[in-house]
Amino acid sequence: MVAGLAASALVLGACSGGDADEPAGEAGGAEVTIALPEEPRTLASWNAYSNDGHPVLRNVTEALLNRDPDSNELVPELALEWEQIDDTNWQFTLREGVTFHDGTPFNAEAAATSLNFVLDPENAFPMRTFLGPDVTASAVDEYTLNVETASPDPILPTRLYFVTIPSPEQVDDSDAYETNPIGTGPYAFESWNRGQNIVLTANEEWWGADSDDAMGEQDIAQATYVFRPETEVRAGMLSSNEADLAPRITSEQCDAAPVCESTPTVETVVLRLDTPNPVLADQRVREAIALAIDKDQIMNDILGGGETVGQIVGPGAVGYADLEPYPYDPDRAAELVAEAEADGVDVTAPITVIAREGFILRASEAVQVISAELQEIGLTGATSETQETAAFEEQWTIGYDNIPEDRAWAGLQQHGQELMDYAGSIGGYYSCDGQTSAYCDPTLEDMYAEAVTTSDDERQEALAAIAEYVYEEVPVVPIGQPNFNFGMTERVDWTPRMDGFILLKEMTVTE
Amino acid sequence: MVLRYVGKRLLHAVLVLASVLVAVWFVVNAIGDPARLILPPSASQQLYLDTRESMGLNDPILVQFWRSLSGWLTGDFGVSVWQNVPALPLVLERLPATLLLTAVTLGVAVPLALALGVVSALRPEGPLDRTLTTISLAGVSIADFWLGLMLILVVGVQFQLLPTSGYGGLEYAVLPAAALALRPLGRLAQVSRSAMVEEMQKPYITTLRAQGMPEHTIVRKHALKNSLIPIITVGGDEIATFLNGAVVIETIFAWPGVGGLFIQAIERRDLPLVTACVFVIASMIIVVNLLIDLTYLWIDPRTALTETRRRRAPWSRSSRKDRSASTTSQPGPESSGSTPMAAAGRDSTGGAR
Repeated sequence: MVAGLAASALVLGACSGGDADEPAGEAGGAEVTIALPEEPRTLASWNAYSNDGHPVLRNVTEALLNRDPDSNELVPELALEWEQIDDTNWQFTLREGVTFHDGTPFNAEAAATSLNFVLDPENAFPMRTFLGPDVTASAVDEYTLNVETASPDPILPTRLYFVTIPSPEQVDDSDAYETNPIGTGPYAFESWNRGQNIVLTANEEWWGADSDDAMGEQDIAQATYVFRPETEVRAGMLSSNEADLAPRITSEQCDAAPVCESTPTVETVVLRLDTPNPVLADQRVREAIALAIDKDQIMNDILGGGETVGQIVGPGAVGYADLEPYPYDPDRAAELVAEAEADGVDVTAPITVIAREGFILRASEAVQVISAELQEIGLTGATSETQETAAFEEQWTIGYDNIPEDRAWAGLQQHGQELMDYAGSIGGYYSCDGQTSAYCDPTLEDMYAEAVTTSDDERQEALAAIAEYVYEEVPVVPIGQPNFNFGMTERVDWTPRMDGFILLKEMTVTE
Repeated sequence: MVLRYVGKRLLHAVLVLASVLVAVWFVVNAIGDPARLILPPSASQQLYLDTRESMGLNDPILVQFWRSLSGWLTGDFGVSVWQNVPALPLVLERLPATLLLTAVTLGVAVPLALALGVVSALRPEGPLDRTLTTISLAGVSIADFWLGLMLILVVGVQFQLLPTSGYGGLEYAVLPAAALALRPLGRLAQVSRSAMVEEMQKPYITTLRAQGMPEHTIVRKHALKNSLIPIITVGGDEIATFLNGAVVIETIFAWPGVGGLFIQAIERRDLPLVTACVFVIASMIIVVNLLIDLTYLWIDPRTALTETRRRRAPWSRSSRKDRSASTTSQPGPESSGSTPMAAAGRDSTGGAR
């Protein structure tokens, strides 16, 4: 009997291709396989904020704060409580009894060393773009951490929710820091076969195992991450039981998966207009573009499902103003274009509707549709184009001052509002100094400078006022918030989070 | 004579490799500022200037070039900008996957193509020949990415006979190799058919038949070997394509080969990694070409003789064809007069690229 089972297991093993990708492990708790669209570029802790890094790293390294998946409120992770003691100083009371995977105890000294390293402007890790003013951390006593900002930053805790804390032992060892992440998290790094997989195993020393505010449990003993750029293959692996979870698949593929979870995201698809260009500098032309685009069609027929929006951040964010999306009204749009033309604006000049290849699913189709819609309303010079990532980024992030006047891009891009605070989006997309801004307006600058120093209700009000202002000016046309589609097998029980993190501690497996 | 031929080939190989690297270095340094590429957009101007200084980008271009050159001689291609680890090991760890996929694909395609070609050629224009020609034409015409996805969906997802994707044992190589094998299979089958048909009409075959030699011995011992030159030429070309990376198939099947890495490096403007990829791929192609030249030598020892007499560019495909052409003018019972066919085989199928 036993031999028979073993033999059939062997046959099965041979048929289904060995055990490398087999999710169902019998010994020592559940195993899951997660098929990600891309491999992390690095396992350095700073990469725990990015789309390629967070699915793995956010399980290994932890931040001072987390977000409650239901209410989206900031909740304790490595810090138990925090308060702002003056304009530029914040104090965090740290959790006791926490150790890093390498045995180093977690305390204020360790947290300060690691935070200062990760946020050091000299290191210039890309995640710093999420941080505001320069930050200096120092230990007050063993479990009290002081964080000072170079200028007032009312949303420091929101920012620090993005910054995970690596073992201070790694700070001086750049090789290990890039490839062998060591944190305090529920899962410890086991191995990385580049191009193939990353394996994490449950950390037996995890503080959360006997804590009631850990917001999760270690039901899963081992997680294997594999990288499948092709959505069809990721989705197929669920049906063939090679993977338990496949994020970022199309809505059709998700519907066909054993279990489909779809969730609104923190991402917004936007069309940014080059306002230095004389044609796009005309508010009527910009408003016409906003009216000409059938946003519902773009979101639901092309981009795989999502809500249309009137602002570049969604409901969860501070500064959300609940604005109606611009209606699809080509007739009114054509009138506006005609008005502009009557005033001498050259509406037949070239406009390039452009997107970055591969980043937004079916972006090339979306830009074709939009350029056709612009031609419909009389902007007859509209054409469409896609560019590969590096070339696109080089021209996208040059800032308002460097955009040539003869460039007339209507750029389709996805904007992440992970900070859940509209100020970051304004700074990036609307202010004169914003890296991704193609707009500069003194009125807005004043409102913005005022708003960033505020907090709580006052901040909500000040930021919402800016939202209403740019709604009229339309330097950026908000299109919609795409849904994230997660396909899963029946054995996994998990609910996606709004921030997109895939936390193993929130996942359970039934055999 | 033979040693001299091989020695010249090796010397050429080194020269080709060196000129490829030099060309890539200058192109790569012309298209972007490496310091800007390494730093995130948020980096300050001061940090940018410091980085330029520490990377030695302020030195004269020849000094920079000399530094890279001395790095190459010790196998140091710099640190990958994207992954922040030394570039060459990143490429080398992808090499086994590429070689495995190439070996499995051609291991299936070449013997099968030869068999199909020979069977077709024995009765040219017969029903079997027509059927096989149709099949091989279909082989060169079907898009490999479509076939790959269909194989995944049918064999991997629907019937779950093989893993859909990934890298592991030989079973993981079956589907990507099947998707890849069809084109070289079709192409080589067509070439070997033409070559064999041509060969079988040669006077020396008639002589051998008249002497009473059995047909299978004629095919095996004489005709096949003599028709190998065009087949090997096209086969070598196919190998080079695979070593360059079967990028699309690698991406679909998440096969960790060199090609996928190369494309990612280019997309991310990771110059050290691009250079390391070029070095590895060029080296492999040069080795393959060297082996092919030695195979010519084995098939037709006169290659070395004509080669030393006639100085020609060694690496272009045309020179290979010319070389086999030059052998045809020599009289003899086993003259390999297959060159027009080699050209014809290429022309009729080359369009599939």
